[in-house]
Amino acid sequence: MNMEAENVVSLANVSKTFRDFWLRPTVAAVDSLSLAVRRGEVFGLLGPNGSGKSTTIKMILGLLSPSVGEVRLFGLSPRSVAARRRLGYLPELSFLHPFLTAAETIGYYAGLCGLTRREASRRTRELLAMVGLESVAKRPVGEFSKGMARRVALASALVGRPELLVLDEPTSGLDPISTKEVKTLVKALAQGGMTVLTTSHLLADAEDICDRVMILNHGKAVAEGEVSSLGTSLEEFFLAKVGSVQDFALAPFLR
Amino acid sequence: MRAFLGIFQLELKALSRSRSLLMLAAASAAWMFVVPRLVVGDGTAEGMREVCLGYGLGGVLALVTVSMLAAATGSLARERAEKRLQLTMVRPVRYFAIVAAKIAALSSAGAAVLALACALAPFCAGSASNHRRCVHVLRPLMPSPREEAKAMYAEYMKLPDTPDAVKKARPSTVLRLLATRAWDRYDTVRTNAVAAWRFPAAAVRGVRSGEVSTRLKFSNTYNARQDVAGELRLGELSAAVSNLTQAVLVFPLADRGGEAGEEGVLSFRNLGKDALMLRPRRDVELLIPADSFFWNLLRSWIEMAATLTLVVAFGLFLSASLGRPVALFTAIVFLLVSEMSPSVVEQYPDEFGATLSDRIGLMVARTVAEVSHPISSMNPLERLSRDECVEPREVAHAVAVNAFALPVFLALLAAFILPRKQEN
Amino acid sequence: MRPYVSITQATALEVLSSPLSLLVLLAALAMEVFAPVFHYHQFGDATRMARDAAISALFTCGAVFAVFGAIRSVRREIETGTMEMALAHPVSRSGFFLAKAAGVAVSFTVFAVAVIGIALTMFAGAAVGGAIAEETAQLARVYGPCVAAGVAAMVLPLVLAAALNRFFRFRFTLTAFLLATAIAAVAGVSSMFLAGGDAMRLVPAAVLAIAPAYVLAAAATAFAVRFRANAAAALSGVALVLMLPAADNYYRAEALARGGTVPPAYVALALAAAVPAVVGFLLIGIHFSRNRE
Repeated sequence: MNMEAENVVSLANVSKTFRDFWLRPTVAAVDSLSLAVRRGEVFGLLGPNGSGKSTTIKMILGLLSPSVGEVRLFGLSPRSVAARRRLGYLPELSFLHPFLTAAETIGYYAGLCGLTRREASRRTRELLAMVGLESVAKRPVGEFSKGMARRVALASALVGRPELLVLDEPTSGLDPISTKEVKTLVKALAQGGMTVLTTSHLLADAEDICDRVMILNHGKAVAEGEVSSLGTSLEEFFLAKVGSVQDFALAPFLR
Repeated sequence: MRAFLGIFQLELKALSRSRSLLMLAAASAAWMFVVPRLVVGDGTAEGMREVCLGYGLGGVLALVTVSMLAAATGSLARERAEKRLQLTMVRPVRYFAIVAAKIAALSSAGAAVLALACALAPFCAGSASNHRRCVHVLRPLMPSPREEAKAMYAEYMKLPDTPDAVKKARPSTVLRLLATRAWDRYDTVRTNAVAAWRFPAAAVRGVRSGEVSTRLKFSNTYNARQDVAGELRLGELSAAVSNLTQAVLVFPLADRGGEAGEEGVLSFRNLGKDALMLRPRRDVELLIPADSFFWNLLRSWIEMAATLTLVVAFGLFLSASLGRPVALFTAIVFLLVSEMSPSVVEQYPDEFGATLSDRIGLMVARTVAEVSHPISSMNPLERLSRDECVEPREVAHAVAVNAFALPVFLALLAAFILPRKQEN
Repeated sequence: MRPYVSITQATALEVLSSPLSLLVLLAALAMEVFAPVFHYHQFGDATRMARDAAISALFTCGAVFAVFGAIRSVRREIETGTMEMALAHPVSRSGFFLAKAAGVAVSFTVFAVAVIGIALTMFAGAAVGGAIAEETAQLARVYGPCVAAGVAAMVLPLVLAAALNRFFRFRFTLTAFLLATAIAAVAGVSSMFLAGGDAMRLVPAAVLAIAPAYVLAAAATAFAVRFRANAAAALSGVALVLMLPAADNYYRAEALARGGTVPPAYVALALAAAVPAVVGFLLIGIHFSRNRE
């Protein structure tokens, strides 16, 4: 079997160092990272704040270029249009155009994915129904709550029927019911053959949906494995790899 | 194409739903009617018309240019700052298409507001029926000043009178000096002598008596004015020139009999007592009827819209690499400097006597003038208000260069920069 | 009082740290330094050019600085939610607004010091040069050091700030802005020795140009609380246009070129008009901030 063809995303020894005006390194966000996301799996990229998850995601999306190493998406450069045609992305915050309605927002991204007007219209209706926003389809998203905006963003990510769905903190800002719905949706998409790459702070959520996880700390991969074969809960595994919880120095405040 | 249209529509929706476009259109319409009435004219309908077109349309052009520049410099920069740009950039859209669609949308919006102002222009000065047909302005067929400079160069450098400073200067500097002199070169017409200038024969063939005119520009310095007398002749048409006291005069050429001149050649016989000096490249013009004011207005609009497209493209190019306020400030300073540079270069045509600092200043001014030539050279309103034809070939050039070639170049540059702007 | 001082201080630093502020300052200094030099040989009226360029730079660049500084500072607080964070502390809405306005005023004052410093230098050079020499070459000998000081106030801060940023990680724009102000102030004070206090005649005229900028800063701060950036800028533009006939009166400073100065009564009159206008806009801003949803 051709492993290269099976890998939807592959990073080979990738480092990313941000530099200041004088080209001095300011932050080494990712350090010698290699990973492969296989077709059809749900891959979780976990790690504490500042561990390099978002930088890694941005390199996979072609929004940042690696300082060292190579990133391939479907075997292509992430900046190629052909690779982006097979991609869906949900950022950590929804970043929607506030003056567009929910239907217009999804229709806009459908247009960017090259769908015809008729296809776009049909797909928009389907997705609005899927995320439960049909009744507010004609309201500007600027008036939406954070959860509703998140649903619109998720629908927009799915509009082009992507083969790879990149989710950056997908349950961020959602109430428990919506969180459950999103997890169910991700599982259903994965069962339908879609590859999902997700980051999350919520280890319980990751444990529910991920087939395989990689834990990042200080820009390096500290562990990688199948969730089913960890032999312990993901939270315990995570803490064992990243470090113990430090208590706040509360004494001065409790006096 | 769907992606292009999607971004195009999004940009227009952003402008219309923020009511910016509506406000701009309302302000432009108000300006067209209010401002010409605030400006003191000379009391004639003609003067009112010039005020209306110059201050009214000119003001709207400035307003639309600055507004669209502000929108363009904000477009990519703001989307990047608010992280929305990345959502577009991860879709299967070429970066060039993102920039091009934004250029198309913003320039279309600006062009629509300009169209509104142009539609109001015939009415704001009073009656729409006041407007005369416009005229083609023809100048004598001569080599360009630059060609003439090249032809003169070798001989000029051999002349014993040529200053040493010039002989030591770089050829490009000397050629510039000679081109300026060629542009200003006088033909001296002595008493009873005849000066003749050839015009495009095809353009003047078949013009009827009374339709074609000659415009002569004499020195407008009061003490250099003189009374002149003479006869103008173009083929079978002629006009008497006598006792001039004004700087610029128009003589209708009519069939008055007499010996016919050569076709396409305008001759002037000086019958006055003093020799006359005329700069053929600047002072001698034939005016031939063209089409209606409305066609001319349409061509002016196309030329203005084309130039607006270039300004918008420049704003978006800056917006791809800079933050919004810095991009806007840079663009406005560049526009101001580009408007000033041609007059600076014109004021200091000869740099041989200049100090080092002046030479550096001139070099900067000349570079800016050349870079900004596509914008600063477009001035259709001046010709529109003087009933001179905005020539179709100039319009075609403006569309090809300002609305297409340069915006495409700037969009390619912006598309190159866009993914390379690395932000944490 | 301490919270409001902190807000004022943070606002002033934010405005002065903006790249746009530095660009506007450099544009103003370039106008002052190069406009008189550029027209020198044309009209031979360097004193008038120095005065006009200085006052134009103060007025036009000052208006841009004040309006954009105010709008950006206030809108950023609102749009990024930092205003809500500040108001969650024991800070009143009116006090917050007044502290922001004070911060903008402080930053504008720093800008004005830099512009007036170079204005005094150029004015002194032109006045002294014009008095002692008729030939351009001789004039240039007097004028040259003044131009050099002006160019130094533009170039040196950039070089020094770049070095300080490279080796000590100082903030580039803020450092460059403050260094330019310091160099301009030193040049301005030195010019008084050159001109024997003659240059000080420019100060009353400069006050006439600065007063409208303070009014504009107050107006823009108030509008930015209620309206989005573009609308606030447009309204400030309307305020500027309404103010122009009054601002235009600085041409009464004609007396400067003839060796006189602007009558103190006229300066007092201008200030008497500006102070109520500032207070009026601040009251409008307080009203907007109290009723902001």
